[in-house]
Amino acid sequence: MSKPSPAPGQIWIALPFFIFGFLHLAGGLAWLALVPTLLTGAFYRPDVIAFSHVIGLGFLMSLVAGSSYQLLPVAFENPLFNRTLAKIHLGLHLSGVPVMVYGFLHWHMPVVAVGGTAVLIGFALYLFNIAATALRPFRKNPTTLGVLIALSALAVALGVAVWILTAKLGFAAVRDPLALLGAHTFLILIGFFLLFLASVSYTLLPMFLLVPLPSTRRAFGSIQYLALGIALFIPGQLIAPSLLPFAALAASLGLGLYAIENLAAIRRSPRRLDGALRLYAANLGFILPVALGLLLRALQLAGHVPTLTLHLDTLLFTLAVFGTLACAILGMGAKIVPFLVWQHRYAPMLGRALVPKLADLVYPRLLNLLAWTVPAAALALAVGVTTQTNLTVRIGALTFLASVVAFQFNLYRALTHLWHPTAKPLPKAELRPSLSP
Amino acid sequence: MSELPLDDSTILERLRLMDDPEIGLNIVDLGMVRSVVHDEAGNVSVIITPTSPNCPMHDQIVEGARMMVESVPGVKSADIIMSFDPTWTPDWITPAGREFLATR
Repeated sequence: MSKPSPAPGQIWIALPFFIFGFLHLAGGLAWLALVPTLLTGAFYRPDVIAFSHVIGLGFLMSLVAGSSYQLLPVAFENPLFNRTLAKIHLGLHLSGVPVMVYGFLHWHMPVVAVGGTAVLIGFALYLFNIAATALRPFRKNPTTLGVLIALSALAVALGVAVWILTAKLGFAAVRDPLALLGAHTFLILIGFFLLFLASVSYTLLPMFLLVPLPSTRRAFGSIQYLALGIALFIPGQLIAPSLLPFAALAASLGLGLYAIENLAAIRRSPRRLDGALRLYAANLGFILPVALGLLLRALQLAGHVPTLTLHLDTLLFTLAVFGTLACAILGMGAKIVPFLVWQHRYAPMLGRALVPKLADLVYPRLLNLLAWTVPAAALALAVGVTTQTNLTVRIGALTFLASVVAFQFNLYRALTHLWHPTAKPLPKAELRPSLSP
Repeated sequence: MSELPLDDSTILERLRLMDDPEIGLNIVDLGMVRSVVHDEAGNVSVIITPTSPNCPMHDQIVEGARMMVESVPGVKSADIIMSFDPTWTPDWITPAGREFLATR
Protein backbone atom coordinates (compact mmCIF):
# COMPACT_ATOMS: atom_id res chain seq x y z
CA MET A 1 0.00 0.00 0.00
CA SER A 2 1.37 3.41 -0.79
CA LYS A 3 0.17 6.88 0.01
CA PRO A 4 1.11 10.25 -1.36
CA SER A 5 3.95 12.09 0.28
CA PRO A 6 3.03 15.44 1.86
CA ALA A 7 4.50 18.31 -0.09
CA PRO A 8 7.98 19.13 1.21
CA GLY A 9 8.39 22.35 3.14
CA GLN A 10 9.44 25.52 1.50
CA ILE A 11 12.99 26.42 2.48
CA TRP A 12 12.41 30.05 1.51
CA ILE A 13 9.51 30.36 3.94
CA ALA A 14 10.91 28.44 6.90
CA LEU A 15 14.51 29.61 6.69
CA PRO A 16 13.86 33.40 6.94
CA PHE A 17 11.66 32.76 9.99
CA PHE A 18 14.51 30.75 11.54
CA ILE A 19 17.21 33.32 10.81
CA PHE A 20 14.99 36.15 12.08
CA GLY A 21 14.27 34.13 15.24
CA PHE A 22 17.88 33.24 16.01
CA LEU A 23 18.98 36.85 15.47
CA HIS A 24 16.31 38.04 17.92
CA LEU A 25 17.44 35.48 20.49
CA ALA A 26 21.05 36.65 20.16
CA GLY A 27 19.98 40.31 20.30
CA GLY A 28 17.75 39.68 23.31
CA LEU A 29 20.53 37.89 25.19
CA ALA A 30 23.04 40.66 24.41
CA TRP A 31 20.50 43.17 25.73
CA LEU A 32 19.99 41.05 28.85
CA ALA A 33 23.75 40.85 29.44
CA LEU A 34 23.91 44.65 29.29
CA VAL A 35 20.75 45.23 31.35
CA PRO A 36 20.27 42.28 33.72
CA THR A 37 17.50 44.16 35.54
CA LEU A 38 15.29 43.10 32.65
CA LEU A 39 14.91 39.90 34.67
CA THR A 40 15.70 41.10 38.18
CA GLY A 41 13.74 44.36 38.25
CA ALA A 42 10.05 45.19 38.20
CA PHE A 43 8.35 43.53 35.23
CA TYR A 44 5.75 46.16 34.27
CA ARG A 45 8.28 48.42 32.54
CA PRO A 46 8.51 49.46 28.88
CA ASP A 47 11.94 47.87 28.37
CA VAL A 48 10.87 44.60 30.04
CA ILE A 49 7.75 44.40 27.89
CA ALA A 50 9.82 45.21 24.79
CA PHE A 51 12.34 42.52 25.83
CA SER A 52 9.64 39.92 26.42
CA HIS A 53 8.35 40.59 22.89
CA VAL A 54 11.86 40.30 21.41
CA ILE A 55 12.05 36.85 22.98
CA GLY A 56 8.39 35.81 22.70
CA LEU A 57 7.56 37.19 19.27
CA GLY A 58 10.96 37.71 17.69
CA PHE A 59 12.54 34.43 18.81
CA LEU A 60 9.93 31.89 19.89
CA MET A 61 7.08 32.77 17.55
CA SER A 62 9.38 33.07 14.53
CA LEU A 63 10.86 29.64 15.19
CA VAL A 64 7.46 28.11 15.81
CA ALA A 65 6.01 29.66 12.64
CA GLY A 66 8.96 28.52 10.52
CA SER A 67 8.74 25.03 12.01
CA SER A 68 5.00 24.98 11.49
CA TYR A 69 5.20 25.58 7.76
CA GLN A 70 7.92 22.94 7.45
CA LEU A 71 6.83 20.26 9.90
CA LEU A 72 3.10 20.43 10.41
CA PRO A 73 2.15 19.38 6.86
CA VAL A 74 4.37 16.34 7.48
CA ALA A 75 2.86 15.68 10.91
CA PHE A 76 -0.70 16.18 9.63
CA GLU A 77 0.06 14.12 6.47
CA ASN A 78 -1.58 16.91 4.46
CA PRO A 79 0.05 19.45 2.14
CA LEU A 80 0.18 23.04 3.37
CA PHE A 81 -3.17 24.67 2.61
CA ASN A 82 -1.75 27.81 1.01
CA ARG A 83 1.88 28.82 0.51
CA THR A 84 1.07 32.37 -0.55
CA LEU A 85 -0.60 33.03 2.81
CA ALA A 86 2.57 31.71 4.50
CA LYS A 87 4.70 34.14 2.48
CA ILE A 88 2.43 37.05 3.38
CA HIS A 89 2.64 36.01 7.03
CA LEU A 90 6.42 36.00 6.74
CA GLY A 91 6.45 39.55 5.35
CA LEU A 92 4.02 40.88 7.97
CA HIS A 93 5.88 39.19 10.82
CA LEU A 94 9.32 40.37 9.76
CA SER A 95 8.14 43.95 9.32
CA GLY A 96 5.70 44.13 12.24
CA VAL A 97 7.77 42.70 15.11
CA PRO A 98 10.59 45.31 15.07
CA VAL A 99 8.03 48.13 14.89
CA MET A 100 6.13 46.65 17.81
CA VAL A 101 9.28 46.24 19.90
CA TYR A 102 10.32 49.83 19.10
CA GLY A 103 6.84 51.05 20.14
CA PHE A 104 7.00 49.17 23.47
CA LEU A 105 10.52 50.38 24.17
CA HIS A 106 9.48 54.02 23.74
CA TRP A 107 6.01 53.31 25.22
CA HIS A 108 4.40 54.80 22.15
CA MET A 109 1.16 52.84 21.80
CA PRO A 110 0.17 54.12 18.32
CA VAL A 111 3.47 52.67 17.02
CA VAL A 112 2.75 49.40 18.88
CA ALA A 113 -0.68 49.40 17.23
CA VAL A 114 0.84 49.79 13.74
CA GLY A 115 3.37 46.97 14.24
CA GLY A 116 0.83 44.94 16.20
CA THR A 117 -1.72 45.17 13.40
CA ALA A 118 0.78 43.74 10.91
CA VAL A 119 1.73 40.97 13.34
CA LEU A 120 -1.92 40.31 14.16
CA ILE A 121 -2.94 39.98 10.50
CA GLY A 122 0.05 37.65 10.03
CA PHE A 123 -1.11 35.56 12.99
CA ALA A 124 -4.64 35.40 11.60
CA LEU A 125 -3.28 34.09 8.29
CA TYR A 126 -1.08 31.61 10.15
CA LEU A 127 -3.97 30.34 12.29
CA PHE A 128 -6.22 29.94 9.27
CA ASN A 129 -3.52 28.29 7.14
CA ILE A 130 -2.41 25.76 9.77
CA ALA A 131 -5.95 24.95 10.91
CA ALA A 132 -7.03 24.45 7.30
CA THR A 133 -4.02 22.18 6.74
CA ALA A 134 -4.92 20.12 9.82
CA LEU A 135 -8.54 19.75 8.76
CA ARG A 136 -8.10 18.50 5.18
CA PRO A 137 -8.83 15.82 6.35
CA PHE A 138 -8.62 15.77 10.14
CA ARG A 139 -6.63 12.79 11.40
CA LYS A 140 -7.15 12.26 15.08
CA ASN A 141 -3.77 11.92 16.75
CA PRO A 142 -2.15 13.72 19.69
CA THR A 143 -0.20 16.08 17.42
CA THR A 144 -3.13 17.30 15.34
CA LEU A 145 -5.46 17.62 18.33
CA GLY A 146 -2.84 19.40 20.45
CA VAL A 147 -1.82 21.84 17.72
CA LEU A 148 -5.46 22.78 17.08
CA ILE A 149 -6.00 23.47 20.80
CA ALA A 150 -2.73 25.44 20.93
CA LEU A 151 -3.90 27.53 17.97
CA SER A 152 -7.16 28.24 19.84
CA ALA A 153 -5.17 29.39 22.88
CA LEU A 154 -3.09 31.62 20.63
CA ALA A 155 -6.25 33.14 19.15
CA VAL A 156 -7.60 33.92 22.63
CA ALA A 157 -4.20 35.32 23.69
CA LEU A 158 -4.23 37.63 20.68
CA GLY A 159 -7.75 38.75 21.59
CA VAL A 160 -6.52 39.59 25.09
CA ALA A 161 -3.54 41.49 23.59
CA VAL A 162 -5.90 43.54 21.41
CA TRP A 163 -8.05 44.27 24.47
CA ILE A 164 -5.01 45.50 26.42
CA LEU A 165 -3.82 47.63 23.50
CA THR A 166 -7.21 49.21 22.82
CA ALA A 167 -7.46 50.04 26.52
CA LYS A 168 -4.02 51.68 26.39
CA LEU A 169 -5.20 53.72 23.41
CA GLY A 170 -8.30 54.76 25.36
CA PHE A 171 -10.86 52.82 23.32
CA ALA A 172 -11.74 50.19 25.94
CA ALA A 173 -11.94 49.84 29.70
CA VAL A 174 -9.89 47.37 31.72
CA ARG A 175 -10.52 46.82 35.41
CA ASP A 176 -7.27 44.99 36.15
CA PRO A 177 -4.63 45.38 33.44
CA LEU A 178 -2.11 43.21 35.34
CA ALA A 179 -4.58 40.31 35.45
CA LEU A 180 -5.09 40.65 31.69
CA LEU A 181 -1.34 40.77 31.14
CA GLY A 182 -1.00 37.61 33.26
CA ALA A 183 -3.72 35.91 31.20
CA HIS A 184 -1.98 36.93 27.97
CA THR A 185 1.39 35.59 29.19
CA PHE A 186 -0.07 32.29 30.45
CA LEU A 187 -2.01 31.70 27.24
CA ILE A 188 1.05 32.37 25.11
CA LEU A 189 3.58 30.44 27.20
CA ILE A 190 1.60 27.45 28.46
CA GLY A 191 -1.45 27.50 26.21
CA PHE A 192 0.38 27.97 22.96
CA PHE A 193 4.15 27.38 23.13
CA LEU A 194 4.32 24.50 25.65
CA LEU A 195 1.22 22.78 24.31
CA PHE A 196 2.56 23.17 20.77
CA LEU A 197 5.90 21.72 21.87
CA ALA A 198 4.29 18.72 23.56
CA SER A 199 1.99 18.08 20.58
CA VAL A 200 4.69 18.27 17.94
CA SER A 201 7.07 16.12 20.02
CA TYR A 202 4.66 13.19 19.67
CA THR A 203 5.36 13.06 15.94
CA LEU A 204 8.92 14.35 15.76
CA LEU A 205 10.59 12.52 18.61
CA PRO A 206 9.52 9.00 17.57
CA MET A 207 10.61 9.87 14.02
CA PHE A 208 14.09 10.92 15.18
CA LEU A 209 14.44 8.15 17.77
CA LEU A 210 13.21 5.34 15.50
CA VAL A 211 10.55 4.17 17.95
CA PRO A 212 6.76 4.15 17.91
CA LEU A 213 5.02 6.55 20.29
CA PRO A 214 5.33 4.70 23.65
CA SER A 215 1.77 5.45 24.79
CA THR A 216 -0.81 7.18 22.62
CA ARG A 217 -3.14 7.28 25.64
CA ARG A 218 -0.56 9.11 27.74
CA ALA A 219 0.12 11.54 24.89
CA PHE A 220 -3.60 12.30 24.53
CA GLY A 221 -3.78 12.61 28.33
CA SER A 222 -1.09 15.28 28.38
CA ILE A 223 -2.94 17.27 25.71
CA GLN A 224 -6.25 16.97 27.55
CA TYR A 225 -4.81 18.04 30.92
CA LEU A 226 -3.05 21.01 29.35
CA ALA A 227 -6.26 21.98 27.56
CA LEU A 228 -8.19 21.71 30.83
CA GLY A 229 -5.58 23.91 32.51
CA ILE A 230 -5.97 26.55 29.82
CA ALA A 231 -9.78 26.39 29.98
CA LEU A 232 -9.80 26.84 33.78
CA PHE A 233 -7.13 29.51 33.81
CA ILE A 234 -9.03 32.22 31.95
CA PRO A 235 -12.01 32.45 34.34
CA GLY A 236 -9.59 31.87 37.22
CA GLN A 237 -7.41 34.80 36.27
CA LEU A 238 -10.20 37.20 35.41
CA ILE A 239 -13.12 36.42 37.74
CA ALA A 240 -12.64 33.40 40.04
CA PRO A 241 -9.12 33.09 41.54
CA SER A 242 -10.17 29.94 43.41
CA LEU A 243 -10.03 28.10 40.05
CA LEU A 244 -6.36 28.94 39.53
CA PRO A 245 -4.85 26.10 41.63
CA PHE A 246 -6.99 23.60 39.67
CA ALA A 247 -5.88 25.17 36.40
CA ALA A 248 -2.23 24.97 37.48
CA LEU A 249 -2.66 21.38 38.68
CA ALA A 250 -4.17 20.30 35.37
CA ALA A 251 -1.48 22.09 33.36
CA SER A 252 1.26 20.61 35.57
CA LEU A 253 -0.16 17.10 35.11
CA GLY A 254 -0.18 17.67 31.36
CA LEU A 255 3.43 18.83 31.42
CA GLY A 256 4.41 15.87 33.59
CA LEU A 257 2.83 13.38 31.20
CA TYR A 258 4.60 15.09 28.30
CA ALA A 259 7.97 14.66 30.06
CA ILE A 260 7.25 11.02 30.94
CA GLU A 261 6.19 10.24 27.36
CA ASN A 262 9.32 11.85 25.91
CA LEU A 263 11.60 10.08 28.39
CA ALA A 264 9.94 6.73 27.58
CA ALA A 265 10.62 7.30 23.87
CA ILE A 266 14.25 8.20 24.58
CA ARG A 267 14.72 5.11 26.75
CA ARG A 268 13.34 2.77 24.08
CA SER A 269 15.35 4.21 21.21
CA PRO A 270 17.99 2.00 19.61
CA ARG A 271 19.79 5.19 18.70
CA ARG A 272 22.46 6.93 20.75
CA LEU A 273 21.36 10.54 21.19
CA ASP A 274 23.32 13.03 19.12
CA GLY A 275 24.05 16.60 20.28
CA ALA A 276 20.84 18.04 18.83
CA LEU A 277 18.65 15.42 20.50
CA ARG A 278 20.51 15.85 23.80
CA LEU A 279 19.91 19.59 23.62
CA TYR A 280 16.24 18.88 22.93
CA ALA A 281 16.08 16.37 25.81
CA ALA A 282 17.52 18.98 28.21
CA ASN A 283 14.16 20.77 28.01
CA LEU A 284 12.63 17.93 30.03
CA GLY A 285 14.82 18.80 33.00
CA PHE A 286 13.02 22.14 33.31
CA ILE A 287 9.50 20.69 33.25
CA LEU A 288 9.35 19.83 36.95
CA PRO A 289 10.49 23.31 38.13
CA VAL A 290 8.03 24.93 35.68
CA ALA A 291 5.18 22.74 36.95
CA LEU A 292 6.03 23.40 40.61
CA GLY A 293 6.43 27.13 39.97
CA LEU A 294 3.08 27.19 38.21
CA LEU A 295 1.37 25.50 41.16
CA LEU A 296 3.02 27.79 43.69
CA ARG A 297 2.10 30.90 41.72
CA ALA A 298 -1.50 29.76 41.36
CA LEU A 299 -1.73 29.11 45.11
CA GLN A 300 -0.32 32.59 45.73
CA LEU A 301 -2.82 34.22 43.37
CA ALA A 302 -5.67 32.30 45.01
CA GLY A 303 -4.46 33.55 48.41
CA HIS A 304 -3.61 30.10 49.82
CA VAL A 305 0.09 30.77 50.44
CA PRO A 306 1.93 34.00 51.20
CA THR A 307 3.89 35.71 48.46
CA LEU A 308 7.42 34.37 48.93
CA THR A 309 8.93 36.36 46.13
CA LEU A 310 7.61 39.06 43.85
CA HIS A 311 9.65 37.55 41.03
CA LEU A 312 7.98 34.17 40.71
CA ASP A 313 6.37 35.31 37.44
CA THR A 314 9.80 36.24 36.09
CA LEU A 315 11.27 32.97 37.32
CA LEU A 316 8.51 31.02 35.61
CA PHE A 317 9.10 33.01 32.41
CA THR A 318 12.85 32.30 32.65
CA LEU A 319 12.44 28.57 33.27
CA ALA A 320 9.79 28.11 30.59
CA VAL A 321 11.38 30.30 27.91
CA PHE A 322 15.15 29.93 28.40
CA GLY A 323 14.95 26.44 29.89
CA THR A 324 12.22 24.34 28.35
CA LEU A 325 11.37 26.18 25.14
CA ALA A 326 14.85 27.38 24.15
CA CYS A 327 16.45 23.95 24.70
CA ALA A 328 13.68 22.21 22.77
CA ILE A 329 13.62 24.74 19.94
CA LEU A 330 17.39 24.96 19.55
CA GLY A 331 17.62 21.16 19.63
CA MET A 332 14.96 20.76 16.97
CA GLY A 333 16.38 23.73 15.05
CA ALA A 334 19.72 21.93 14.91
CA LYS A 335 17.88 19.14 13.09
CA ILE A 336 15.50 21.15 10.96
CA VAL A 337 17.78 23.80 9.42
CA PRO A 338 20.40 21.32 8.12
CA PHE A 339 17.54 19.17 6.84
CA LEU A 340 16.04 22.14 4.97
CA VAL A 341 19.41 22.75 3.35
CA TRP A 342 19.88 19.06 2.61
CA GLN A 343 16.41 18.72 1.16
CA HIS A 344 16.88 21.74 -1.06
CA ARG A 345 20.43 20.98 -2.21
CA TYR A 346 20.95 17.24 -2.00
CA ALA A 347 17.56 15.52 -2.18
CA PRO A 348 17.37 16.03 -5.98
CA MET A 349 20.79 14.32 -6.25
CA LEU A 350 19.67 11.21 -4.35
CA GLY A 351 20.43 8.13 -6.45
CA ARG A 352 22.61 10.15 -8.81
CA ALA A 353 25.49 11.02 -6.47
CA LEU A 354 26.94 10.21 -3.05
CA VAL A 355 25.42 12.96 -0.95
CA PRO A 356 26.53 14.00 2.56
CA LYS A 357 24.52 13.15 5.66
CA LEU A 358 23.05 15.83 7.90
CA ALA A 359 25.85 15.26 10.41
CA ASP A 360 28.34 16.16 7.67
CA LEU A 361 26.72 19.58 7.26
CA VAL A 362 27.47 20.75 10.81
CA TYR A 363 30.05 20.28 13.60
CA PRO A 364 28.49 17.51 15.72
CA ARG A 365 30.98 18.07 18.57
CA LEU A 366 29.89 21.68 18.84
CA LEU A 367 26.29 20.52 19.27
CA ASN A 368 27.42 18.07 21.97
CA LEU A 369 28.99 21.00 23.81
CA LEU A 370 25.88 23.19 23.40
CA ALA A 371 23.76 20.43 24.92
CA TRP A 372 25.56 21.30 28.18
CA THR A 373 26.13 25.05 27.91
CA VAL A 374 22.57 26.06 26.92
CA PRO A 375 20.80 24.37 29.89
CA ALA A 376 23.62 25.52 32.20
CA ALA A 377 23.10 29.10 31.03
CA ALA A 378 19.33 28.79 31.52
CA LEU A 379 19.96 27.46 35.02
CA ALA A 380 22.26 30.41 35.78
CA LEU A 381 19.54 32.81 34.62
CA ALA A 382 17.01 31.07 36.88
CA VAL A 383 19.40 31.23 39.85
CA GLY A 384 20.07 34.91 39.11
CA VAL A 385 16.34 35.68 39.06
CA THR A 386 15.70 33.69 42.25
CA THR A 387 18.54 35.33 44.17
CA GLN A 388 18.06 38.70 42.45
CA THR A 389 21.74 38.78 41.50
CA ASN A 390 22.52 40.85 38.45
CA LEU A 391 25.98 39.32 38.08
CA THR A 392 24.57 35.79 37.87
CA VAL A 393 21.99 36.88 35.30
CA ARG A 394 24.77 38.57 33.32
CA ILE A 395 26.93 35.39 33.42
CA GLY A 396 23.93 33.31 32.33
CA ALA A 397 23.08 35.71 29.51
CA LEU A 398 26.67 35.82 28.24
CA THR A 399 27.02 32.01 28.38
CA PHE A 400 23.71 31.68 26.56
CA LEU A 401 24.76 34.29 24.01
CA ALA A 402 28.08 32.52 23.36
CA SER A 403 26.16 29.25 22.90
CA VAL A 404 23.72 30.86 20.48
CA VAL A 405 26.54 32.43 18.46
CA ALA A 406 28.23 29.01 18.27
CA PHE A 407 24.88 27.50 17.28
CA GLN A 408 24.46 30.09 14.52
CA PHE A 409 28.00 29.41 13.32
CA ASN A 410 27.08 25.74 13.03
CA LEU A 411 23.95 26.61 11.06
CA TYR A 412 25.96 28.92 8.83
CA ARG A 413 28.20 25.97 8.03
CA ALA A 414 25.10 24.04 6.95
CA LEU A 415 23.91 26.99 4.86
CA THR A 416 27.22 27.10 2.96
CA HIS A 417 26.16 23.82 1.34
CA LEU A 418 23.50 25.80 -0.53
CA TRP A 419 26.23 27.41 -2.64
CA HIS A 420 29.07 24.88 -2.10
CA PRO A 421 27.56 21.39 -2.42
CA THR A 422 29.93 18.53 -1.64
CA ALA A 423 28.28 15.59 -3.39
CA LYS A 424 30.61 13.01 -4.94
CA PRO A 425 30.04 10.89 -8.02
CA LEU A 426 28.61 7.42 -7.46
CA PRO A 427 31.03 4.54 -7.91
CA LYS A 428 30.29 2.44 -10.95
CA ALA A 429 28.03 -0.52 -10.21
CA GLU A 430 29.47 -3.91 -11.09
CA LEU A 431 27.92 -7.33 -11.06
CA ARG A 432 29.66 -9.77 -8.76
CA PRO A 433 29.91 -13.54 -9.09
CA SER A 434 27.02 -15.11 -7.26
CA LEU A 435 25.96 -18.59 -6.21
CA SER A 436 22.31 -17.86 -6.92
CA PRO A 437 21.00 -18.70 -10.37
CA MET B 1 27.03 -5.16 -20.29
CA SER B 2 28.52 -7.65 -17.84
CA GLU B 3 28.14 -11.31 -18.62
CA LEU B 4 27.52 -12.15 -14.95
CA PRO B 5 23.88 -12.77 -14.02
CA LEU B 6 21.96 -10.08 -12.19
CA ASP B 7 21.83 -10.81 -8.47
CA ASP B 8 19.54 -9.40 -5.74
CA SER B 9 22.53 -8.94 -3.45
CA THR B 10 24.15 -6.69 -6.04
CA ILE B 11 21.04 -4.52 -5.98
CA LEU B 12 21.08 -4.48 -2.18
CA GLU B 13 24.74 -3.48 -2.19
CA ARG B 14 23.86 -0.65 -4.55
CA LEU B 15 21.05 0.51 -2.29
CA ARG B 16 23.50 0.51 0.63
CA LEU B 17 24.97 3.63 -0.95
CA MET B 18 21.78 5.48 -0.10
CA ASP B 19 21.66 6.78 3.47
CA ASP B 20 18.83 8.13 5.52
CA PRO B 21 20.29 11.64 5.79
CA GLU B 22 19.16 12.30 9.35
CA ILE B 23 20.00 8.90 10.85
CA GLY B 24 23.19 8.55 8.82
CA LEU B 25 22.60 4.83 8.20
CA ASN B 26 21.93 3.28 4.80
CA ILE B 27 18.38 2.25 3.98
CA VAL B 28 19.25 -1.46 3.76
CA ASP B 29 20.76 -1.76 7.25
CA LEU B 30 17.96 0.46 8.53
CA GLY B 31 15.57 -2.29 7.42
CA MET B 32 13.66 -0.09 5.00
CA VAL B 33 14.22 -2.37 2.00
CA ARG B 34 11.68 -5.14 2.49
CA SER B 35 12.19 -7.13 -0.68
CA VAL B 36 14.06 -7.14 -3.95
CA VAL B 37 12.91 -9.33 -6.83
CA HIS B 38 13.91 -9.39 -10.47
CA ASP B 39 13.02 -11.35 -13.56
CA GLU B 40 15.30 -12.70 -16.26
CA ALA B 41 14.68 -9.69 -18.47
CA GLY B 42 16.17 -7.38 -15.80
CA ASN B 43 12.95 -5.88 -14.49
CA VAL B 44 13.48 -5.21 -10.78
CA SER B 45 10.89 -4.59 -8.13
CA VAL B 46 11.86 -3.19 -4.72
CA ILE B 47 9.53 -2.70 -1.76
CA ILE B 48 10.57 0.03 0.65
CA THR B 49 8.95 0.88 3.98
CA PRO B 50 9.92 4.27 5.48
CA THR B 51 10.81 4.35 9.17
CA SER B 52 7.91 6.72 9.75
CA PRO B 53 4.64 7.28 7.90
CA ASN B 54 5.41 10.99 8.41
CA CYS B 55 8.74 10.74 6.60
CA PRO B 56 8.99 13.88 4.43
CA MET B 57 11.26 12.14 1.95
CA HIS B 58 8.92 9.59 0.35
CA ASP B 59 9.13 10.90 -3.19
CA GLN B 60 12.86 11.52 -3.12
CA ILE B 61 13.54 8.05 -1.70
CA VAL B 62 11.48 6.41 -4.43
CA GLU B 63 13.18 8.39 -7.17
CA GLY B 64 16.66 7.97 -5.66
CA ALA B 65 16.25 4.21 -5.20
CA ARG B 66 14.98 3.89 -8.77
CA MET B 67 18.04 5.71 -10.09
CA MET B 68 20.34 3.60 -7.91
CA VAL B 69 18.83 0.29 -9.04
CA GLU B 70 18.72 1.30 -12.70
CA SER B 71 22.44 2.06 -12.57
CA VAL B 72 23.18 -1.62 -11.92
CA PRO B 73 24.34 -3.39 -15.12
CA GLY B 74 21.69 -5.74 -16.41
CA VAL B 75 18.76 -3.84 -14.92
CA LYS B 76 16.26 -2.85 -17.57
CA SER B 77 13.70 -1.15 -15.34
CA ALA B 78 13.14 -0.60 -11.64
CA ASP B 79 9.80 -0.38 -9.91
CA ILE B 80 10.09 1.07 -6.39
CA ILE B 81 7.02 0.47 -4.28
CA MET B 82 6.54 2.46 -1.08
CA SER B 83 4.68 0.28 1.40
CA PHE B 84 3.30 1.25 4.80
CA ASP B 85 1.66 -2.05 5.68
CA PRO B 86 3.08 -3.49 7.83
CA THR B 87 4.59 -0.42 9.40
CA TRP B 88 8.33 -0.28 9.89
CA THR B 89 9.64 -1.53 13.23
CA PRO B 90 13.11 -1.18 14.82
CA ASP B 91 13.25 -5.00 14.79
CA TRP B 92 14.01 -4.77 11.07
CA ILE B 93 17.33 -2.98 11.67
CA THR B 94 20.22 -5.31 10.85
CA PRO B 95 22.81 -6.19 13.54
CA ALA B 96 25.33 -3.99 11.70
CA GLY B 97 22.77 -1.17 11.70
CA ARG B 98 22.13 -1.62 15.42
CA GLU B 99 25.82 -1.40 16.16
CA PHE B 100 26.07 1.76 14.08
CA LEU B 101 23.12 3.39 15.85
CA ALA B 102 24.40 2.49 19.31
CA THR B 103 27.84 3.93 18.74
CA ARG B 104 27.31 7.01 16.54
